[in-house]
Amino acid sequence: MIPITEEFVDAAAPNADAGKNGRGLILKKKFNKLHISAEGDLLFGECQGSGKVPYQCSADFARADQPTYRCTCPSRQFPCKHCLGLMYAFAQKKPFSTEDVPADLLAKREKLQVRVEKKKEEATKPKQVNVAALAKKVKTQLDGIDTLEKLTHDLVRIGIGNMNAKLAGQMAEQAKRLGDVYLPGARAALYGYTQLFADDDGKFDARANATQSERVYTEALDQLGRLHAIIKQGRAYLTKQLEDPNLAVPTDTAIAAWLGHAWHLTELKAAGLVEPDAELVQLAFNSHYDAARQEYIDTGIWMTLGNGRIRVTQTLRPLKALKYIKSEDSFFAVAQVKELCVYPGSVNPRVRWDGMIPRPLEPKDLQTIRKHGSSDFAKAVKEVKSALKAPLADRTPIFALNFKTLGKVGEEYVIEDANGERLVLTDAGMSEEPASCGVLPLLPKSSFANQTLIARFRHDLDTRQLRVKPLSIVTDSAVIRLTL
Amino acid sequence: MSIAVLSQVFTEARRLMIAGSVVARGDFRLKKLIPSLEQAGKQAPVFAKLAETAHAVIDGPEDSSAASLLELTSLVNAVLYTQGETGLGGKLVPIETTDLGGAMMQTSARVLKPLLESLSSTGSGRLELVKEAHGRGQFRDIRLIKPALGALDDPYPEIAELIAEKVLPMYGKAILPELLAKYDQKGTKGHPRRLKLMYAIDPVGTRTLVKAALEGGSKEVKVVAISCLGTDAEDLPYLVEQASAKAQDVRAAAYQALAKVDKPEAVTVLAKALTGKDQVLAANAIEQSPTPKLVDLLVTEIRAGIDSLANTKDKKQVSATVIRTNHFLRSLSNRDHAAAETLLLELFKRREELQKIKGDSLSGSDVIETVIYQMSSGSKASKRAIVKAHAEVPADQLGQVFHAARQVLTPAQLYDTFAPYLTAKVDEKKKGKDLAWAQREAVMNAIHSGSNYYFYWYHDDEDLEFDDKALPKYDPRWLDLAVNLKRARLIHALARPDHTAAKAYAKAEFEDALKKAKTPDDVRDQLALMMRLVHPDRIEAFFAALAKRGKKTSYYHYWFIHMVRWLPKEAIPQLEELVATIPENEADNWLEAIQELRTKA
Repeated sequence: MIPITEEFVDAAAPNADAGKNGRGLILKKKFNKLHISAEGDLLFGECQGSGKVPYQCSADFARADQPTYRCTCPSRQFPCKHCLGLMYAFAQKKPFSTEDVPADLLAKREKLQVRVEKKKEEATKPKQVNVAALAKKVKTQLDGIDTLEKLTHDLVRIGIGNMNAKLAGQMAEQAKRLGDVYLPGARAALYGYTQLFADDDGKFDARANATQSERVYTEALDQLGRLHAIIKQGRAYLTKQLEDPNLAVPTDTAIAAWLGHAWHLTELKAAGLVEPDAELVQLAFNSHYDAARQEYIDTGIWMTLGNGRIRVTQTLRPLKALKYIKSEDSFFAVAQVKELCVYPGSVNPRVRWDGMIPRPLEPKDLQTIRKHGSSDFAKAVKEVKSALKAPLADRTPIFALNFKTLGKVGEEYVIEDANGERLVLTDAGMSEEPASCGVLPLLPKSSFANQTLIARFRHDLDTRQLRVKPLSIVTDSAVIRLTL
Repeated sequence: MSIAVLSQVFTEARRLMIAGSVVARGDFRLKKLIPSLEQAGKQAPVFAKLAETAHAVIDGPEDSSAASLLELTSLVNAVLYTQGETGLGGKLVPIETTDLGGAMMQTSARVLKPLLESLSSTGSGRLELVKEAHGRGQFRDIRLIKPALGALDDPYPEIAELIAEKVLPMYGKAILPELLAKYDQKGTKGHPRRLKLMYAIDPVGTRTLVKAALEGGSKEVKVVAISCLGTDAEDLPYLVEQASAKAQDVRAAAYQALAKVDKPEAVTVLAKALTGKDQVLAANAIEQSPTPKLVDLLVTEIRAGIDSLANTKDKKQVSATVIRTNHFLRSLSNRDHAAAETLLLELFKRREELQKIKGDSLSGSDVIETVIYQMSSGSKASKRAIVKAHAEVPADQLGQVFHAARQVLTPAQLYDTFAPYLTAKVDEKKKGKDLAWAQREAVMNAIHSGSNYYFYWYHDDEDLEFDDKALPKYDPRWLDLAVNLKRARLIHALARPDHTAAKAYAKAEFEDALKKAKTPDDVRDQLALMMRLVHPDRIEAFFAALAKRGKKTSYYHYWFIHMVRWLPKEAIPQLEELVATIPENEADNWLEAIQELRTKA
């Protein structure tokens, strides 16, 4: 059994309140029974709820990296406060008696085992596809692409300068229909364009748009370019898929995600987009609210210690389902992942994993991160530029940069490598994360020489400058997070 | 690569995208660029491609104009993305850092987010969160600095003040650029706070801003700017001028600043103000001033005022002089100044004469009251003088005399002098009209004020005793007397855990009350006394009182929860048993109290 600490349970909690309530159950002495299996891999107990019959809750560590939480309560939070309370009780060394696993739990464990085996088996089998249905779907998507093209061309014909709140609102309505033709990603991209003409709350305000400034024009231009690329690449991709006898999803391009394809881990595994036995360190984390999409987006920025690649995790929490989706949090340990699934993409692809075992972050891990940093800025910049020229590339790629000096030139913060190459630091244009340059003067002096900067690049089309936003500084003793 | 041509193509493509592709056909400005593109295309194929696409925009069919223009902008954008400028010329200088004076913290997002929201939003309950975070040192997470700076403009002034006074100063000079960037001398609310903070962090560097604010700042900013003056000789003429400003706030700030300057010009201005409409503002300024000359001024004014009373017939005029004199007397607080002490002793001696002066609202007796009050917190000689005359002071001021006596008499002398007031024969019916009754109450109230009798109503008051720890302990005979007199409140104030008779009294009182009690409120004070005496049976008594609640719980019994922290830790298991039986909504409060008891040192 893995050692359960209170931090482990905190991290497992879907939100801070669930954790607090879980702790409260112990103090309120709501647990009538606390048991552990003879093998030490199953905690189970009884917790008194508001009804007469106590809830049967358990935390099953048969799969150490993927614990299974079970409870008879009706809560849709997962794990519920009862399972969390059970684990807190164990972490707080409350007396757990060794008992035989109850028959119903045994049955559930067996069922789970069967399910896992089946899943494994299924993963090896070729996926059964209803080719006819899929072909119909792809054709519908192609029709949707035609609609998107018509809408985009209409927008270009009208001109960005002639966009107004009314038109943006109508276009947003049209965009909704793209969701009905299995193109949620394309819909989001069109929304992205219309939202440039909305206020901070995502609403179209005629008065505000009447005074729409030049500020959004360049961004709108870029956004239309993206829509154009989605249309072109999307059509080619869907046509290619339609031509394949099995209608398999091409995995060599990120366009699938742009069209809104929700990758299943099995698909990624089947496509070989998996790294075995990966260890990851979180370098930065932010959670921001997207008013247009009406959802919170939790983004973790991680480095895989083995190959030094920087990837991101994303959890989308729509407002409507906020209570039921676990909010992510900063993670200060090393995540040991058996199978790391990597989405198709270029510089910082999205990653996901099924189960994870934490281990403490050690100085040697920080050394590894620093070793993976790029000490040649010119090379890193070349790589960034090469990635940025693709119209659907991530516009703000993240790199680890080993700098010799972090200082100031006039009012600008600048990093310089050993060859004297410089990069200017900025907060402009990257509002998802809070501004971070302002906190630099508060760092200890030792942070300004020979350290590794985790930086987000951004090319400003108006000023034609490629600058970086500092996210974290990795020293030999800590990851100093500058954003949130 | 010809970046200039690229830039021009981008500008034209951007212009057409803004205007709409319907006007793109035949666009002569874009057309003009094609030869340059074709020329460049001979060396770099991408320019040839651009020229071809630009042709399609200008000469292509109208129905494909949108597609062509999109193609052109996408292509030019893609090329421009590879041309981003990096680097910056000039000397690279080290960043000036500020030592935050302690280790930095890195807090998890789940903890930081609510705090960030409370600093950047509105609504209730935020102050507590910010206070707690400050107490836990969470502002040592550098990511909170920007939001904290933003909170200077918080619509709830208490949050803004807390941030300005407690949180931001610890970041030192590092926050100066940000403070300066946001500062607007014409502004109100957060802007005076910014100036004050900048001045506190860097007085020399902020002087220019202070001067500018004096010239063109808003009234609020100007008031802060004036309060920053006084350290430089050149400030004096300006301050003298501002002492005649129209706005009262500005004049008050000017007096405050002048009081810090030990110069004849400043003294002249304040002396004049003491005789005019600003006498209160000037006296307040002098109260904070370290300059002895200004105290002399006050003393002279007070003496002149008192002397004039003898010849004043108009009762209204008498009251006005008394009000003015009292205000000036109060401004002598905490002064170690010979002339002020002499004045107080002199006025105390003249109390018979003052007693005879009658005004319409305030009279000579009110001056005596203020004099005694000032003497009770004044020098030892002043205290001795009023203690010596204890039998002659008005009954309602005997309490102050008692407090003064505690500081100059030995515990035995104090008992011998004041205990007779408690045993004196009084007329209980006449109450305040009977001098002996009023004197007894005054002495008892003075003793009561040393303890928190109603401690159970409040959660935050940690101490049961308010008594000044520096004062000598009471003579043991006081508690014996209190028990003999059966004065529960007095026993509470004088309580000692080793007093058997007091404990027996408390237990008997509790049991007696418990027999008659219908609700826990009927035994509340008796239970509190047992807690105060650290009675060995207090746990038992606590639960016996609790049993009087019956099945129904009441909001009004929350004092029970406040009493938990005065129980011994042995009570924890029993309390935990109790929590399991009470409703969920109430249990959380009990849990917090138990946790507090558990962690109590």
